[in-house]
Amino acid sequence: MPDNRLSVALIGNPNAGKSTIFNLLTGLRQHVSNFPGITVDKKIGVFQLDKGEKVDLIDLPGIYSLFPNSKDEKLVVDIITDPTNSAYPDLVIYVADVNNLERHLLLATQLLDLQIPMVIVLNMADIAEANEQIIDTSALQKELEVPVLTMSGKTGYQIDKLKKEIQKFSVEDKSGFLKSNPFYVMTPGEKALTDNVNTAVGSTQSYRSKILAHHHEWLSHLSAADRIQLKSISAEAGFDNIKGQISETMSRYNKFGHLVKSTLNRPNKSSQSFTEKIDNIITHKIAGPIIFFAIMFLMFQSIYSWASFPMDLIDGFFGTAGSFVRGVMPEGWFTNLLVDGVIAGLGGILIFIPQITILFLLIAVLEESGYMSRAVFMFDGLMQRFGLNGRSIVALVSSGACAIPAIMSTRTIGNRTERLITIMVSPLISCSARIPVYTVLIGFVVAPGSVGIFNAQGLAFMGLYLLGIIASLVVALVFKTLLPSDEEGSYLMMELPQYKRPIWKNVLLTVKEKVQAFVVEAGKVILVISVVLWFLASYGPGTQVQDAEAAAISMSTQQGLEDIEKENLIAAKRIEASYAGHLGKFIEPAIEPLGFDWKIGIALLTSFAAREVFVGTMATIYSIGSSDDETSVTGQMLKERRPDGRLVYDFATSLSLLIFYVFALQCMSTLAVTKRETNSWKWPIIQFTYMGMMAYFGSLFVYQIFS
Amino acid sequence: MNKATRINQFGLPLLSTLSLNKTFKIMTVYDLQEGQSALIKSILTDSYTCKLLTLGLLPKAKVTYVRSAPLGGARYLKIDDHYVAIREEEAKTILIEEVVI
Repeated sequence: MPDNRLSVALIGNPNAGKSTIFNLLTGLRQHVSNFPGITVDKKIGVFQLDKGEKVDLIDLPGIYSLFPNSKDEKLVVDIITDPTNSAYPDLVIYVADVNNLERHLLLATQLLDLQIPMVIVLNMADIAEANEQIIDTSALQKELEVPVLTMSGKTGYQIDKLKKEIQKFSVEDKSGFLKSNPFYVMTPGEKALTDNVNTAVGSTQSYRSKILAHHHEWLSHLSAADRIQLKSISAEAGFDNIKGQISETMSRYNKFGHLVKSTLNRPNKSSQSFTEKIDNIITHKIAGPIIFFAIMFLMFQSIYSWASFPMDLIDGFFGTAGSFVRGVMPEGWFTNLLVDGVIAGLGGILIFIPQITILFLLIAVLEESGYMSRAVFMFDGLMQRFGLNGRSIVALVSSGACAIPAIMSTRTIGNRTERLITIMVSPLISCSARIPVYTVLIGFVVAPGSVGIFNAQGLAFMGLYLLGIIASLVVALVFKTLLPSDEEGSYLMMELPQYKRPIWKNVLLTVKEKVQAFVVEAGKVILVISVVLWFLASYGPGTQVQDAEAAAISMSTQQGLEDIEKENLIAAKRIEASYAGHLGKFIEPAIEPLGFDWKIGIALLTSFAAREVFVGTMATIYSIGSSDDETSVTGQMLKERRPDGRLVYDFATSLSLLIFYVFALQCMSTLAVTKRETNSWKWPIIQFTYMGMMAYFGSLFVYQIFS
Repeated sequence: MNKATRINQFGLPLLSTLSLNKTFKIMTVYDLQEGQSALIKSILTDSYTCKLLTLGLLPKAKVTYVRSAPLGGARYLKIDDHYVAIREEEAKTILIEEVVI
C-alpha cells in the first residue's frame, strides 16, 4: 500500500450494511488475504475519487462498542486504539442502519471521542423511506460536528455525496471531520485515572487512555511494562472495569436519546412486522428444526442434481483438450507430461467448480438473508450440551463449504473452550474438497437411480455428510469432558436482524472470491503434485522401468496377447516399477487391511496436502497406466483389477475409502489456520492425530465387515 | 439456590447462578410468560451486561417474550421494534417492572 494514499476504514455495528457499501465503492477492485469469511478477515479494496485519486478502503468486522466480548471485535479495538498500526485509518466511514439508530450511534460517539476523523453514513435509507420515515440529519450533524449523510448501499443513493466528502477530507482542513470536545464527560475519578494513564503512556488523548485502562489485559500493542503500570494505576484508583463500561454506555445512551428523536420522525408501526411473521414459522418450536433440516437436505440434493450438466461439459472439454494437444504436439516426454500430468490433473479438479459454486452460493444466501442467526438461536441449547455455542452452527454449516473460513468464523464465540472445541471438530464436517472424492466413489457403491422422488446417489451423499455431522458432535462431547471449562465468558446474546432480500452483488462477490480462492489455491497444489507425480510414475530407479517393459513385451509375445492387452500390460508393469510404484508398495502392508492397494496408497500420500488431489492423482496414475483414450477417471477406475482378477473398486474397498475421506484431516491449510487461531502447534497436532486414527480404524472396521 | 453458585471475578456470587426469583421477590425477563411484555427496570451487573445494553436492552425499553427455542435454553425477545436472542440465565439478570399486555 503506497504511503501517500488515503486510507479509509468502514466501521459499524454488525448488520449495518458495511459490506454492501464496501462492494458499492470498490466493485471488483477488492481482495482478501488468505481464505476469508464475509466479515472475518480484513478485506481491502481500492476506489477512485472524482479527480482520479486512489483511496484504500478497509472493511473491518462489525462491532457494537469499544467494550468487546469476542475475538474479532477485540481485533477492531486493537487496531483503532493503536495509531501506529498499519491498518489504522486516516478517516472512518461510520456506517449506521438508520432504522436502528438508537443502538448504532453508541459506537460512533466512542470513536469520535478517540479523535478519529469521521463521516457518518445513515444507511438503508431506502427501507426507512418505504416505512414512511422522515430523516433530518441537521441536529445530529450539529451535535456530533462531523458530516452526516443518508445513503442506501443497496440502490447507490448518495454514493457520490460520500465520495465528495472523502474528497473534501483529502484536501481540506481535517477539523471538519473531528468533534471538538468529548461527547462523553468523564467523572472526576475517571479524569484522575486517565491523567495518570496519559502520563504513563505519554499521550494526551484521555479517552484513549480510558480504553487502555479498561482493556490493558489483552490489547496487543501494549508493552509488558505498560501493562503492569496500567494495572497498578487502575488498582490504585479503584477503577472497576465492568462498572465503568456500564456507566459510560448508559451515559452515552442518555445523551444521544434526544438526538435520535430529532433525527427520525417515525409513523406508528403495524403491530407485527414482516420479520416477526416469518419467524413465527421459521423459528417455530416444531416447524423450525424441520425447516432447518429440509433446507440442509435440499442444499445437498441440489448440489448433486444441478451440477451434473455443467460437470459433463467440463469433463468433455478436458477430454477434447487432451486429445487435441496429443494430436498437434510431437510425441515425446513433454507431451506426455502435459496431457497425462497437467491436463489430466487439472481436469480432475476443475470439474468440481459447479458443485462448489452452488454450495458457496447457497451458504452465502443463508448468511445474507439473516437465516443463519435464527439457526444459532434454535440450536444454542443443543450445542451447549455438546460443549459448543449456538454460534458454532455457523462454523459447522460453513464447514460444509470449507473448514478454513469456518474456523475463522469461530472468532465470534467469546468462550475460549467453546471456541476451541468448535475449531477442533469443524474439519469433520464434509467440506467441498471431499465432493470430488465422494462423487467418484459413490458411483461404485450406489447404483444411479432414484429412491422415491430422491436421487439415490444424492441420498448416499447426504449420508456421508450426516456421518461427518454425527462424528463432530460425538467428538465435541469427548472434548467437553476432557477440557476444563471456561464458563465465565459463555453467552448467547445476539441480534436477530430483520430479514432482507439478499443483495445479489454481495452474494456473487462472496461466491466469486471463494471459488477463485479454491481454484487458485487448489490449482497450485494440484499442478505441482500432478507434475511431480507424473515424474514419479513415469521413471524408476536404474533401468527398472525399461526392464519391466521388456519383460512385459516378451510375456505378451509368449502368451500371444492382442495389441490392446499388450499395451495395458506394459503400462501396468511400467508404473509398478516406477518410483511411485515403489512408494505405494512400501506403504501397502499398512493399508492392505483397509482394502487399499499400492495405487490407492499413492493417492493417499499425495492427498495429505489437500484431499481434492485424490482425483487428480487417480487421473494421472490411470492415464499413464493405460493406452486407450478413456479420459474419465471413473471409467478407468471401474476397469481396474487386482492381481487375482477381482475388481479393485468393489463395494467394500470403495466404502472403506469413503470412510477414510470422511474422517481424515488431509488439508495442510486447515492445520495452518488451526495453528494460527489457537496460537499453538499442540491443537493442530491433536486434530490431525485424532482424525487420522478415526479414519484408519473406521476404514478397517468397514472393510473387515463388508469384504 | 438449587444450582451451584459460582463466584465472579469480584468475589461475589455470579448472578446468573442465583435463583433470584426465589431468593428475593424480584421479577425478571425470565419470569415472563410467552407473549407477555414488560418494561425493563434495570440490569444487574455481570461481566456481559454491557453487551446486553448495546443490544438495546435498556431501562424503559419494552420487552416482549416472543417464544422459546425449540430445544429450550434460549429466548426470542422483541425489544421495542427489533429482535434479540438471549439465554435463560441472561434473562434472569434483566429486572422488569409492571407487566403490560
